[in-house]
Amino acid sequence: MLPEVLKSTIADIGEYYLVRNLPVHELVTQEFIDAFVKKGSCYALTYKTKIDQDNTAALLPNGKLILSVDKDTYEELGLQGRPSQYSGKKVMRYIITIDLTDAGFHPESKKYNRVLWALREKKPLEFDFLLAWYNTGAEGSTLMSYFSKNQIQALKPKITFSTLRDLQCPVLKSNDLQGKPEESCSTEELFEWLGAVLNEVSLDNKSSSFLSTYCCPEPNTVVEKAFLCTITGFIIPEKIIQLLEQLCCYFGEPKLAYWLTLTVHGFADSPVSWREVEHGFHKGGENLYNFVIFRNLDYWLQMAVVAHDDCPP
Amino acid sequence: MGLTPGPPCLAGQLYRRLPPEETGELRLQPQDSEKAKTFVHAFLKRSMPKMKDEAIQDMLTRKAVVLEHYAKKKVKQKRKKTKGFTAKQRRELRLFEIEPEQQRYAIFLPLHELWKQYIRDLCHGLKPDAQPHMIQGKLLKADLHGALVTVTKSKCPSYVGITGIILQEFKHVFKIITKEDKLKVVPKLNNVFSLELDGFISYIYGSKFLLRASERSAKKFKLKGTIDL
Amino acid sequence: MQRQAQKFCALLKSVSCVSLANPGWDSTVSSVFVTWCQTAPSPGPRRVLRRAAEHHYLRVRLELPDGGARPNAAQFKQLVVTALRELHGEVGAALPVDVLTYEEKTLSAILRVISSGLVKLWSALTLLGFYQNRRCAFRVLQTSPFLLALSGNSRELVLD
Repeated sequence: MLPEVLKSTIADIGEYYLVRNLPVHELVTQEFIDAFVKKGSCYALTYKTKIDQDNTAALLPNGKLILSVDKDTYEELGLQGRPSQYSGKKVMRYIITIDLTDAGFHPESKKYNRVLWALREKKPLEFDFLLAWYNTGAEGSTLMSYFSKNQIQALKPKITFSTLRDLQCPVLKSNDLQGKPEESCSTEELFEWLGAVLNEVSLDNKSSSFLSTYCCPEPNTVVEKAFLCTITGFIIPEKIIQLLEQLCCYFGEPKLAYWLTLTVHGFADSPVSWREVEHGFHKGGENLYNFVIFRNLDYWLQMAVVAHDDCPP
Repeated sequence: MGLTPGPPCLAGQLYRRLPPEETGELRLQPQDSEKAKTFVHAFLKRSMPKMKDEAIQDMLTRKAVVLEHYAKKKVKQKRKKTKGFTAKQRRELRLFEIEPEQQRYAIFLPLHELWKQYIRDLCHGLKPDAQPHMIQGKLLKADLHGALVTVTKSKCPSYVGITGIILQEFKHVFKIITKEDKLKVVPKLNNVFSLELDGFISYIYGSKFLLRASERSAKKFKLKGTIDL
Repeated sequence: MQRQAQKFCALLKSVSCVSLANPGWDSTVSSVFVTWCQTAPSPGPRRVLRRAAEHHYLRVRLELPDGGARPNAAQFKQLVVTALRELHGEVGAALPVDVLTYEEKTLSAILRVISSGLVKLWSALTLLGFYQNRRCAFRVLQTSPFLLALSGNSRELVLD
């Protein structure tokens, strides 16, 4: 029932790499910048580091290296940063931003040497990095060969398919966000319902039930078959856009489905959530968004963040 | 010692030649007045070496001399006020500033060698098996002029990594000359310095070190579990 | 699971937005929920809901010593209510808590509670020490104002 083109897009969601014990200064060397950062979109994120207690780093596709470090590391590192906006009166966390594509950032410049000295000699920081690289042009050297002397492994996103039968689905109207009783469901109700489906929550409870009073929002229809695909890994935005375009094409020919959704979860421990907006971890670090695409190609975009995050754009 | 008082008009009489009958009686050799005058002068001069000639003359021409003994009044020697410069004058004269042509790292290398020798002597040779806390105690009171230090931690990142010889220590700052012949003024507050000598690395928490070098030698430092910047 | 959407904003360039909340930001906001709508020709509205989450969700795991009876779903719910009663009395026990999922094998569950009762529930679970005279402990694995967020936790991403 799933079109082949969609299947192949999912299969081609791209691989990513895990490099163990990679010193951060490897990411700011001229060779790396020339080979990867300037020739495509390079993504890196520290793996198994917690944003609320550990030092964390991320490389954004616009060539900015963001380091989120605790107070003691910051004082030792000797690189200029700014206090984290979620650290309260006594600053315990600092954000250092290094623009690798800046014109003034070349091997002769003072800044380059200072950064390299700080990360290589003063306070050698080492992390396990998740890396991904996307370029449209000719293939140059690959991350795999560049980091061959480090412990690198290529990973494929984990993909699971499942078919849900006789699923209760809320009725949605693309031009009505807030919903009307007896007509359509609101966006919040849909969001909760999505969570319930993904967590395999039973949808047909009675409001008087002892265990749970959750039930599918009204009005709803029973769908005979629903298709659910989950991709887990370090997925880059370019691939998500591809996937989204394919999903829009799905409605190119008449289909029975009224709408479909695409949800993207952000890493809870990433130092940024949207663009360069600082991200923190309070009770949880979720930053996620969800597309609902309707048959007439109208779409909703829902974005959700919790405390210690700025309002999404 | 006293002199027979005589009226000033009798000054001439004082040195008058004694009448022959008197000299005969006393069996003295008579002297003429000029000779007597010089003798009296010489005698007085000899017996009172501290007095000046004029004072003696003065005394001789006095009408009366008190012969009673009186306690010598102790003349309190007025302490001469040390005539230093005021802080303002010092500033104006730039006494504690090092001239730009003198700001060269090489010039101060001998000072550093001297300081190393000084610390080795202070710590009894600085053997590798020496107790670190003993060295700490000594260094705490030691003079740091000439030490080679590095800023290892700082609240202000741009101070981190400055390495050089301490030229001057003030209450709140160190003046450090770096290898690049730059004179840096580094505040002690919120900075941690490290100094390395013969394999021993000591850290100086500048925030606890806000004293002049002279005051520090007398200060008692308290042990604390942990120190933050 | 994806790190961030750098570019998806470009997709939305044509969307004009109406922000319903006031633009000031305050750090106590516990959740934000933004919805955009794009209808083909007409500009879409934008709804920003702050502190709007009606419910909070907790993913918990019960730790019991090996052996002995494991609670079934109803007993599990009863245990949660007991915990609430112990710490917060009858008023606490009346707090509506839903056990959305419960897996007897792993003793893990997803609970739903009204946002204002989150602290009560959390504290009650933490301070519970016994189940049927056996030592036990609740581990709160994840908490979120969005149920959807519980389906993907990047902290549990294991790669090898």
